[in-house]
This record gives sequence, C-alpha cells and structure tokens, in this order.
Amino acid sequence: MMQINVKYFAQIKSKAGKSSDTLEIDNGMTLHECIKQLGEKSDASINELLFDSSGNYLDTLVLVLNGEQVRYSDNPEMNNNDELMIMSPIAGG
Amino acid sequence: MKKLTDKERAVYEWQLDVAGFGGEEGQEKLKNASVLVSRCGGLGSVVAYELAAAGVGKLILAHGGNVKESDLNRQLLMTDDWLGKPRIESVERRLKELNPRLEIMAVNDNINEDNAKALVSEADVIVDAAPLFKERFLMNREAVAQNKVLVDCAMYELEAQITTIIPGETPCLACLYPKEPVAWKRRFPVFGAVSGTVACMGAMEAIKVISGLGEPLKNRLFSMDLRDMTFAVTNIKRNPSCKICG
Repeated sequence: MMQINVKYFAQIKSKAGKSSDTLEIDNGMTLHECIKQLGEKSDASINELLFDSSGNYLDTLVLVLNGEQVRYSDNPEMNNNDELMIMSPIAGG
Repeated sequence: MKKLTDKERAVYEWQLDVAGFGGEEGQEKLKNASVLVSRCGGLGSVVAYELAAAGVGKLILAHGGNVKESDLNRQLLMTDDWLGKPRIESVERRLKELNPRLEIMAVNDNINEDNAKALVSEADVIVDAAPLFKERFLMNREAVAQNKVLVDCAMYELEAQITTIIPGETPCLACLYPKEPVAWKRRFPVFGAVSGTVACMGAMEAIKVISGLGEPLKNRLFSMDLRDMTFAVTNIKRNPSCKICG
C-alpha cells in the first residue's frame, strides 16, 4: 500500500470540510485511480466536483503533483508519499 | 512617447529609485501605457487604484450595474454616498481624485461578446478581475488572439491565486481550465483584504510587464491561503490541445 497526501484549495476544500486528507492506495495505482478512490471515500461531498453524473471526469480542476501541474489525461503512476493538490477554479468579484 | 512633467517627477519620485525600474524611462513607459481592468470590484478596484497611483497613463475600465451595500466590504472604489448610482461613475470619480492626470475610458458594462474584442484592442495589458468565467474566458480568448499580456487574478474566501499569461510563452486560462467550471457561484465568501492582497500583486505584475522590471509570474501559478499564511508557487504548463492557444 502507498500513502498519498492530498491537499485541497478553494471550493473543493469547503466541500471536503478539511484542507488535507490522506489516502491509502494500492501500489502501482495511477492518478485516475487515485482520484476515483478519493471521490468514493469522501461520502460524495467532493465527488460532484470531480465527476459528472455519468462518472466522467469534469476536467475543471488544476491538479498539482509534488509541486508540478499534471494533466488528468497524463495519468501518471502514483508513488508513496506523493503530495496531490487539487485546486478548484476561482475568479474575481 | 510622452515625456514626464515636473509634476509627475515629483509625484513618482520615490518609485523612480526602485532598482531595475529604469527611473524616468520606466515611468514614461507607464505613462504611455494602457491597461484594461474588468471588472472593478473587490479585485479590480484595487488593481485600478494601484495602477492610477503608479502613473499608468490610461485605464480602460469595464463594470456594469449600480453600487449596492454588499459591494462595500471589498469594492474600494465604491462609496456609501454612491449607493444606487452607477459603479463605473464611482470608480472614475475616485480614481480622478487620486490622479487627475489619468486618462480613463469608462465602460458602464461588463465584458461580453459584443465589447471584448474592441476593449482588449485598446489596451497594452489586461488584468482579469471578473467574477464570471464567461467574462474571463472572453478576455483570455481576445488577449491570446491579439497577443496581449493578461494578468489573471482570482480569490475565494481566504485564498487567492495569480498568474501572468503571455500568449505563445505560457499557458492561457483555457489551458488551466479546459472546460467551464460547473460549481463556481457568483456569490462567494470573501474579505476585502483578501481580494486587495492579490489585487496589489496583479497591479505589480502589470507594472513589471510594462516597465520591464523584475520577472513576471510566467508559467507559474502563485497561490496563497491567508487563513494559515501558506503560499505556494506551482509550475504550470501549456496544453498542446488547448482550443484557444494550442
């Protein structure tokens, strides 16, 4: 098993009700599997910001893996103690 | 290139000494520059105020609607005595009080499909301070099409972020958000001190881009959480399949 350290930014943090989380995932899992598991773990509160009602990734978030932006489509393999920051889009006003 | 007057030399005396700014030459670049700021709310008010104070020669300001009570916790160019009257008039009045030399193109409307292209064409630099992604994507599209630098500022609650978009060199807004965000709501929690903080950074980015001072936030997304004073810089990258700049 691997531990992923998850951080939330902006709306998704409000939805999650916490600024960070840890996720236990199987060795060899990828970003897609990690995010899917995160959505399933979070009693649906953040799932609606990750996936549409058909289960398709919404692609409206900035994903940051160990300080570098990653694209969902790149789907990198995760490593133990990775830090994944999930940033909701924000605006002005 | 318009030269500085004696009055302007006196007003900008302290910033003329900033290392790397270029003294009078840097100040003349600001004097001859134009910046589009939209809207002039919690973010844009402070961006416009700082740019007016710094001596940017022309501001193109777009903001529709009338002043409401709920504007006053953060929209620092709106005043209680202007409640119910057009916001853009309050913006123009306050900026002129600070800098009567400032040229202002005041637009009593928000950025939309009909005005985006023309307003962006008036500016050397765009500062995106709009609350709706539809407006933000329009400014981004036109900035990329017209090869204009766009400083993108945003905030939510006690968090904020900023990046500087240079077409052809950096990701654009559509690279960051390939699809229009579904969960963003027009009303959101925020303190004026949060929007003001990132707005000052946005104004500084515009000043840097115009004058050549320092290094803009290219290919980097600066984010902050004022709740616990954590700050981060994330390396961001262009999306090769971006529909706007790819």
